[in-house]
Amino acid sequence: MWANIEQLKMNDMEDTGVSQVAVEPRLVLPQMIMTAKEYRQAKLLMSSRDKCHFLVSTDFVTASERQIEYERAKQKSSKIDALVAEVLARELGIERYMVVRVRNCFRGVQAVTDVEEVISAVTDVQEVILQVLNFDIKNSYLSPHTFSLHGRRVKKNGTLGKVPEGVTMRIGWVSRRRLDGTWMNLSARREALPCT
Amino acid sequence: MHLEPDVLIHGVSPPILLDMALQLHDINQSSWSESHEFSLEDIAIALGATLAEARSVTEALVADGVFARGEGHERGYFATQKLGQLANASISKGITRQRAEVLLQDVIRAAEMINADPEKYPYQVTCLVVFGSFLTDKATLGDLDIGLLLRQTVFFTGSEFGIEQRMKIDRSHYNRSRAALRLKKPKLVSLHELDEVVRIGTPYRLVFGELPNVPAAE
Repeated sequence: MWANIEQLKMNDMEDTGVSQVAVEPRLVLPQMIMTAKEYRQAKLLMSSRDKCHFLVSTDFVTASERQIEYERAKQKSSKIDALVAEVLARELGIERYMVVRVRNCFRGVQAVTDVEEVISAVTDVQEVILQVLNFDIKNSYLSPHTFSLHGRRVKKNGTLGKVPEGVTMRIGWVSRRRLDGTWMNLSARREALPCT
Repeated sequence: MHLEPDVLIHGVSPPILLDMALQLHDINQSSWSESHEFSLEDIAIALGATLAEARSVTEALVADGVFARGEGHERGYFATQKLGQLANASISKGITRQRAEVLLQDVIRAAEMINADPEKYPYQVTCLVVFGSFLTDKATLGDLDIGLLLRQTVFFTGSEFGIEQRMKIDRSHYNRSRAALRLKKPKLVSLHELDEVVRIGTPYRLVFGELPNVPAAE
């Protein structure tokens, strides 16, 4: 869902009296919040998973080999899932089965890639509310890699639906739904360190 | 069962708890076995909470009798009848007993009006029973639960219509009688079929007409 930032600010104020978008947006990229070791491991897993996916999609392998590669890709995906789940739980407080709201900043139709730009010139916000069931890292055209959350959509009335939903996190705000129905902002628990 | 909109239950907002109960109830109903076993993960997914949060809520719901612990399985939970009641609960401020009694008199008057005009209402009221929180001594009720039995007395015999159309007309006649009994207050008056009330096994009291061949529970 796309929303104008000013409108979003007003909606937040009406709901809770505190606007989430009034605070500075956070940069949520793997290279910024993972440790160097974790990031290296994630890249290695992604690359080997991509190789498996490539072999599955070609005609150069037999049916049994394709099945083996498919299983191998699944194993790599589950390892990435576990790694990202650990990192996001530690650094942002996002845990599996939580209902989260991700608001990504955009400037017009162009995604913002620098926090400095966001503060001055963000106009649009992409808002996605979902229940997190799986984690992933994806190659992105905006940044080398982005965290990706997959799960199921939350309906307009707040109940959990059955439609699959996914979102990648770049720059913006992340919050989670508490059991009492209120929203809590999640922010990086330590200073973002660039990875080499 | 009715839940107050602003009162948290074991720290959980009523709409979230209701959503959880509905999802688990659906799983339980779709299961082939008589009773489905839920894991803590199932409950966490339905609740939209982490496993740690789900664990504390589940323990509290086990103490309330909404779930029962599975024998021989440490992590297994079974649904009880209370889960079904929770899934069917409404979230409202409720109505006072005085208001409910006035409403009940209005429903009885509506039934008399229906039975007095068989041309307009081909489905006549055979009996009305009241059940649920009205029979308790609570000062505030969720809604007025009425069980009803309608009987078709005037049959539509238009030969120019097909069977499907005749069934549709019958259905609209049936709904007309139900709508009159609901008094245009669907949030306050809840109508149920009499056989549904008997099947649940909940106590009920006859307030209008005569019961067919079912034993009166009170």
